[in-house]
Amino acid sequence: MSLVVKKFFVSPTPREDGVYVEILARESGFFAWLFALLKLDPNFCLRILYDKVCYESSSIFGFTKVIMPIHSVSSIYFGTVRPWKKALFWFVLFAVGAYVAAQMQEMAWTIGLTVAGIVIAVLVFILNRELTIGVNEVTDTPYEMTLKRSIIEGQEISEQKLEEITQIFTAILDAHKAHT
Amino acid sequence: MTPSPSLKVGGNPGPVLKLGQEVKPPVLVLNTTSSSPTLQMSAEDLTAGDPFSNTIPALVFMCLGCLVSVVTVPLSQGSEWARIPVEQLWADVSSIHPPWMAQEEDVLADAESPAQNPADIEVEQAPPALTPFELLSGVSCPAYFPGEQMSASSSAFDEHIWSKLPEQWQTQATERLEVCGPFESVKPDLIVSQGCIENECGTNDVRFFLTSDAKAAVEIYLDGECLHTSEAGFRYKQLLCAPR
Repeated sequence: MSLVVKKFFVSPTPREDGVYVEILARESGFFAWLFALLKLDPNFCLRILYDKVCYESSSIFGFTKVIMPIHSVSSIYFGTVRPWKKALFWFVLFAVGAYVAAQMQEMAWTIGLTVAGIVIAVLVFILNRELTIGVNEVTDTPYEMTLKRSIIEGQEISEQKLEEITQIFTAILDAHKAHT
Repeated sequence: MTPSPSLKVGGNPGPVLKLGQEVKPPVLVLNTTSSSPTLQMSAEDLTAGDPFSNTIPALVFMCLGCLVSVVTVPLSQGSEWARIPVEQLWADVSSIHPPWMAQEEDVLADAESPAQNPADIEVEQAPPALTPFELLSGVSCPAYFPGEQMSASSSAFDEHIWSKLPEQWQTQATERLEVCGPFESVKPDLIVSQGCIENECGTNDVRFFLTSDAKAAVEIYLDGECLHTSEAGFRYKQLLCAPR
């Protein structure tokens, strides 16, 4: 299940509440957005503080909140899935349409379908690119979020931003070592 | 045989336990957050280059679009160089028969049709030419009336009856053909079709006549008054506007 980001905060300088990283996301899709307007949408939240990591998932049916001491986190990971196949499928579909239009000697349709194929393929690629970030507890329990870009909220999380989160996490661990 | 070592039974004496001692738990302070220090991170760490931007897919699909256009745009302007000969390919595929299918077809053909000379086959394949009289016999108006559907009956009706009528008659006949009956034989060489057979029949009606030698006649009732017209050579004029 992919999520779209509602709120994203990453900074080496903590917020007033001590948070370095906060990712608040909801389920993707139009109906999920409608539910979000009514505050009924399923929410997922990952927060990294100096001494703990919090993972929350909530919906109208209830919620789960996991608080892990920072030293009980064994690893933090991130990655991406690039939807080349899906984008190529749509491009080829429109290209075939353009070829058929060309066979019928409809030049306007030929050019229109080719341009539409390019635009739709690029949009499919951008909107379906998924980024995953998560933490593993020492018990090997994963807490992860798969994010994709939302048309409505328009928040785009780059791979660079996710890498920044891992660097902040490493810096927190280093700071703990320095204190001990 | 070596003798077995003697074993010492009994363990080390454990520590003396103090029973009845209570551990005083500390007083907890809730809702406190440990102060988060500002992390020291190098600027290089935070400005790592974006390994994959959206520009790359956009460029890739632009290039693919250009390649597609190179093929399709000349094709849409009438150039033949990139055209796939679909009909030819289909014909080629259809003509390919595996050997076992060819054998089966031969066997079936032999079983179904005994040897015939080519002249007989041509005679059998040619459709027999029907006269307008035969084409319209028993046919109801949805099958012959102009504009309903294209068929041999409608072509015959149009050619031998409808096209011979003046425009005013065609209009009046059209109004009376909402519910109409089929051409029925009233003489061995005469068929007649009724127009309106349900609504005000008899006072507003139209009837088409056609003889076996393709001579046509029409009668129209306008509020009970009958008008008729017939083609030269129509033999049954006495039947036109005859009392019913």
